[in-house]
Amino acid sequence: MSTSFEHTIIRLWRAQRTESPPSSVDQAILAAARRQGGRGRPRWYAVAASVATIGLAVGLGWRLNERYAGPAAPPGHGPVAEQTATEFGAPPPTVAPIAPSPAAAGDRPVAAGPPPEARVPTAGRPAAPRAESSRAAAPDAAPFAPSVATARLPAPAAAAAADELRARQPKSAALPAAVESKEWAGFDDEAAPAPLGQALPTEASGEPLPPAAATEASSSARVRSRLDAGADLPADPDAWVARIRALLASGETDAARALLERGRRAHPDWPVPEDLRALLE
Amino acid sequence: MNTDDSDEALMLAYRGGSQPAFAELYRRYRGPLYRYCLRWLKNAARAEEVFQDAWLRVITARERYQVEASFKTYLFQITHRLLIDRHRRERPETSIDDHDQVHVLPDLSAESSESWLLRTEQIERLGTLVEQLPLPQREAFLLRAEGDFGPEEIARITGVPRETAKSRLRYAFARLREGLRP
Repeated sequence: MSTSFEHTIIRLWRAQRTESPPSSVDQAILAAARRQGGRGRPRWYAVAASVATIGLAVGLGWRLNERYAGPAAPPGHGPVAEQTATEFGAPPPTVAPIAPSPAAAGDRPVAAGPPPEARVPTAGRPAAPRAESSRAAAPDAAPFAPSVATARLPAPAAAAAADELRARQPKSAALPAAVESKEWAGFDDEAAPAPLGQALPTEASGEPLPPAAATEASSSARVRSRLDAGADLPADPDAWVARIRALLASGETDAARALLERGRRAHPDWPVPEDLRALLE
Repeated sequence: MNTDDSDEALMLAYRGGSQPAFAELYRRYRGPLYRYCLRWLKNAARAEEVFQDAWLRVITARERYQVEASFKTYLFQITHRLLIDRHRRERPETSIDDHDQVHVLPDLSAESSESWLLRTEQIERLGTLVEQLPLPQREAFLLRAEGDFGPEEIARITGVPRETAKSRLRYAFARLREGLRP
């Protein structure tokens, strides 16, 4: 419909009419656009923010659940303990039938439970720490806690296990210095190792047993097993006598006497020094 | 954001938060839209108000913007409604259609050349003649001259049938021609 006349008119109109809004109006409009544009966010921004918030909440909930709900689970029954016990061929958790106290491991308070890291989900954790956790959380996992396991076994089985242990351990094997000195310092008849097949008091009583104490008790049981087998006795009779004399000097006569008797059984041909013969009377 | 992007792409980009996209849109239409308001209202202050209102409508309604028509049509349609509202408030007794007078079209067939339009005095008269056009014809002319709209789009913007928009354009050009005749 456009004619050349119309085109000419329009061209002239545009050439002559160059009015434009004042710069103040330009600035006001552009500022309004910035303000409004700043308040509004792209839709993906809202979606991403929602997803991040939900993820954070779920993560916090998961961590809190692990921290506060996990330790209440009985040792040996947690998912990690069961899984690791299965992985390493351990028998399923059992209640110690020979323990003097009927308290089961699951009755232990939180303090006696495994350390928190033992409850971290299995995924993402290396195998070695899992094995440690398994030992701490499931003392019945025999392959990894022989002394404790044998202490909970029935008497015949415990005796067999002790024999096996004796066979595995050389009689002259020296204990770590710290453990050895500790055992010797506190050795007396009252503190003598409980017979095999009997649970250690701290474990059987069901009283709170911190993880460190549990480890210490396991270590103590292991040492006492060796003592009972005579493996702790020095191969050199002079060193053996020196220890007896040290016990006597510290006033631990009964302990010195017990050690002397066991030393004589280990070395029947060795003559007892005169100053120690009084102990045998 | 690219300056070659279509108006619609720029508007969608601004809806997504792009400030440069809006700046480019504004750069493209600030002049034509302002002159449309200015020649429609014949008053600079009022034209600035309507001009600002129109852009603010675009800004605040950006979340609801859908590509159903060209952005230019959308922009001028918003402005047209603001102009009509203002016109009704200021002159409640009149309607824009009251200005839609029917005139006998001048016989344009006798004109063989528009060379006479190039004369300076005729060019200067053009602005005055446009302002003297009846409002519907003036608006149709302004939409054609400033927005480069055809009858179809003018009809859409002003909310009238296409033939009405086409008729308004014809009358507008006829009157301008008549007024510019030496």
